[in-house]
Amino acid sequence: MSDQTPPKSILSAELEITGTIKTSGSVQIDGRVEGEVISQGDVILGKSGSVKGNLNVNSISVAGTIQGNITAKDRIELKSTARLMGDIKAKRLAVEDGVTFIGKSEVNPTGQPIKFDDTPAKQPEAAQSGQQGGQSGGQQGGNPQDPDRK
Amino acid sequence: MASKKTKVVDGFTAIRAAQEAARHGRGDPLRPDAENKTDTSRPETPNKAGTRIGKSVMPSKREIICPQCGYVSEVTGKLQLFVCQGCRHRMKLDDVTLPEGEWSDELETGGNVTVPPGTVLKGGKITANDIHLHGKMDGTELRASRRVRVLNGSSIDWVRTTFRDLEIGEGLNITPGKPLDARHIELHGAFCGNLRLTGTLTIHPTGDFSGQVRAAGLTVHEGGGLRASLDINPEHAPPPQPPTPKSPSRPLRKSLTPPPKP
Repeated sequence: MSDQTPPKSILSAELEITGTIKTSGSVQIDGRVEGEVISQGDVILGKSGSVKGNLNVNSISVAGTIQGNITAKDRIELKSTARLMGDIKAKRLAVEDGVTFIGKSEVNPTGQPIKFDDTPAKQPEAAQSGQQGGQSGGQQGGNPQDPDRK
Repeated sequence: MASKKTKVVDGFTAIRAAQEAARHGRGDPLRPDAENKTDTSRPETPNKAGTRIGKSVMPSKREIICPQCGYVSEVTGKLQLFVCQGCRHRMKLDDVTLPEGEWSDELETGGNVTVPPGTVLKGGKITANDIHLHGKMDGTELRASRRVRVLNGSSIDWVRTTFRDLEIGEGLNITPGKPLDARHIELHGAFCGNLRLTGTLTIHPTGDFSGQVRAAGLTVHEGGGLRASLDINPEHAPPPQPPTPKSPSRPLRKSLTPPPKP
């Protein structure tokens, strides 16, 4: 009985690699990588895993730390323990509450640009059904005790 | 024998007695006629999980934030009147649905206010715990001490609206034009702008966010769009307030005997 799926490479927690990792299959990273990761398959970055460099993958699940940009053809999943300092680009994104993420994101599942109405808020009657605009001078939300709140 | 009798029969004791009687096949003592009626009059229906006898249902809890002082209280069950523990401000807890047509009146409640689609808010001030906005807003000041839900077909004046939490309904495209400060924001529709949150930004599968966001948390359900510059760090959350020390209910008695000399 032969397994059709290619075997998954595993970089265990004790492993530290400096350089580029290139694979056509999937890889699970539990150790430390300093360099680029290029994978045509799926990448799993474990809790103890960290990558300092850019990742170019099909899809990725991140529970560890990344200092670099992620470009995924399909999907990026950020688990609650993930720490990401870098930009991401993907078709689909799933983020759990608790992540630390400082960077830019470019995720548009529909692929269609969304039109926003830029009419000012002073003419709410001009706003069409289901569209709001805004030129607001007041402070929204925040503490209700704040006397300056409007 | 007489000493064993219960002097006060509360609701809980009565229910327990009824259950005990039912268990021993004595019927329901609270409804003695029920035993005879249950034979043939009703067709047997399968037991639903929620309608079982013997299961107690806890009353629902709701969070009430005082519009005067911002004190957060938790209310259990139904209450007509609420007194803030922080500032003793009294307010009703009714849920109000505004009538269709123009509204230019003052309204304050600790419950929810629903602005239906046919209502236009022309003036006055509405203060409530939650405000569900389906109608148009044109001049009224909205103060939601907790949450504002903006739903499809509505229009909102961001200058005159205050809230802690915001929910944007599906099908809406919103551009406030200036940064919004809030605690939590949930997006079922599209939003373009800058957000500064002390809580979590949640993007649901139908939601889309573009702009800048600084928040303590981010949740993106698969299918949600995100084209943004992000600064998501749990440290952006406000520090938890230390618990207030409990003052002793009685003053400490000084011991009358002097301490022994060494």
